[in-house]
Amino acid sequence: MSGLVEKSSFGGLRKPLLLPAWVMIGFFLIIPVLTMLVYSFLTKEFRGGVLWEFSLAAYDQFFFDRGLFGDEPPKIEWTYINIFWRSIVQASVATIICLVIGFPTAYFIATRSPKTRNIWLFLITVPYWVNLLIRTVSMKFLIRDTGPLNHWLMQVGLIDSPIHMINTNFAVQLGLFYSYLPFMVLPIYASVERYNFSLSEASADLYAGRWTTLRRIVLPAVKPGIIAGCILVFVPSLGAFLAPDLLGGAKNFMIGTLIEEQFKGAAGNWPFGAAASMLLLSLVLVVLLFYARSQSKQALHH
Amino acid sequence: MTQGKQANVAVAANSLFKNYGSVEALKDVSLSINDNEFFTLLGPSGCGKTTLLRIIAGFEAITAGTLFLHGKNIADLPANKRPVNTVFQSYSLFPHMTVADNVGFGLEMQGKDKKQIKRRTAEMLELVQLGSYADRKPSQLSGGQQQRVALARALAPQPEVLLLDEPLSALDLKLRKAMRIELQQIQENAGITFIFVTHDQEEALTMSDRIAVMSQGELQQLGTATDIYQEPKNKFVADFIGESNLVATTVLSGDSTSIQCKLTDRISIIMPNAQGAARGDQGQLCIRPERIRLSNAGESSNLEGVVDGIMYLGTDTQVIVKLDDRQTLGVRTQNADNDRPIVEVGQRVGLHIDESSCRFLAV
Repeated sequence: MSGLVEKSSFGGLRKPLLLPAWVMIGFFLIIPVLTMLVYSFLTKEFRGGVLWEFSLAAYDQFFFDRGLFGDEPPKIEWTYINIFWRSIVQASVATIICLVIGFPTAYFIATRSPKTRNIWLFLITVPYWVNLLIRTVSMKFLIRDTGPLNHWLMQVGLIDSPIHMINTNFAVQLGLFYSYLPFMVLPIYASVERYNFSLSEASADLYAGRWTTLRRIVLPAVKPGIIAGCILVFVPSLGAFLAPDLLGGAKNFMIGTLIEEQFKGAAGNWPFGAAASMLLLSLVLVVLLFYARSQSKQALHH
Repeated sequence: MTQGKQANVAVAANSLFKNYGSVEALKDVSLSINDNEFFTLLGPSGCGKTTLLRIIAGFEAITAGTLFLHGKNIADLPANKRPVNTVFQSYSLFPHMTVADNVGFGLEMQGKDKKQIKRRTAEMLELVQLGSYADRKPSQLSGGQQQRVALARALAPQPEVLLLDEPLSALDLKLRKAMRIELQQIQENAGITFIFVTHDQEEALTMSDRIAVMSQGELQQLGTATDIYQEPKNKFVADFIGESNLVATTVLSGDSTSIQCKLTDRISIIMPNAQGAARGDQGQLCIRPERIRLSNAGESSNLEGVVDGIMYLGTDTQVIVKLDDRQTLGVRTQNADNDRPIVEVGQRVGLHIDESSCRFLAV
């Protein structure tokens, strides 16, 4: 009967029962997004905050450079576009790393006996009982030049002098990877667990080797899980600001950090931050749209 | 080992053992399956028949023993290197591929060229009468059609042996009966050895050249349908194949050709000595229900009883008769037989046993 509850079974209670969901969506999604959208078209106030005057200045500032006093002919402003681009690259690399490590992990867990599976899943989620900020700060402590990792590597004799890891792309990737790996593992696990392994046997029976079976039979079957995992890693990585800020330093600025700065202290620029958020949101929506399109195409095929 | 080298033996298994931890799934199974044979592994669930099939396919490793395919030791060959194909119980068609791609998959993996794959695929789909379904996805087909695709897919690479794991069990009765005939015809036309696993004795009896009856990981008996039905080796086979009246008995006297066994305190039966039994042996007396004829009481019969139950089965009627010493016997009467007495529960009847068809089973 699950999932087959008919509309009529709740009768007149249907609307009141849905109310909490609508309140949630309204307060935590629609109102905040609309607020940001409106703010992105307002004029900045110098001590933070906004003046209620319509302006395209925030978007203009994102894309164009009009000189110090704003009276020169507009040139393309590459600073923010570059930050945006770097964020996309960083998020893509983080997604690929999570996929390359997450897929075998998920496959491994899904092919254990049902009892041990739960233990593995538990282990994967244990780090998430600790706050993301604390974990990121701990990571910073671990990999700094005088930190335990370098200390240990030198003691073992693998290196002579500390490897400089902090404030590098590597550190940002490590942070992103560590933050979002479970978001890759769990959806892939769910789809591998549902996978009918007799299909792999059928493939082997028909003379396919292991890699061919993986590529031709397993991957197409678990594709929805892989796509879901990639989106769940890519989207938050794109807007991440903790890892780039704490581990990447000033050189490895990402869009999340840029937005965060606009709302911090008196130096901020709320309309500009709101505009950057809107641009980030649009990018994410485009990614999700592609996903939805590929899903509905698949649904058509079945 | 020598039997594996004979040209007409397709599969030769010698003293196969398979353990899962402490569970013995196969215990000392030896059998040889001939070329072009329709060979059936028959037994209740958990008897080891599917394990044996999966061992031949290469999905399970053997714990001990040898396994030869056309004289070649295949025990250590992985599944994708063995020239055998399987029709899976749940078909296991690749859901994201079309019917044609499913059927062509094995050929593609064998490295056949595109033209060849296309021709052979079309040929196979024609064979299973699904020529017009080539571009469909498996999910768009009925159970029976999926079953045919699975068969076409397994036959396409021309395997030396085709393994069928209860392929008809998911179909409804009518379709199952039609598929039995079709499978037999395909087997005859393709000239490929079929190893067919089933728990359905009727399926086994109607389709097979030879049947291996298995129970609890052991081979109980191997023979043609008639052999197994008429000369069951033990109580399990007699009970599992068809129906049997099994009565505890003692051999009263006998020689190498015939023996006399006790049925009731007053009555004994003389039958062929099929298993070399000797006087004083204890065991089971096996009497097939259709080998007992009913008559009205007092009509030249020294064995009488009272009708205890009647089951109408369409073509037959099963009558349960309680003998005077409380032993019950099942009797099959054909409803087309107009000479049979019409009986009612509680009626006293005479029984005539076809003694030459009875067997004494020591175990």
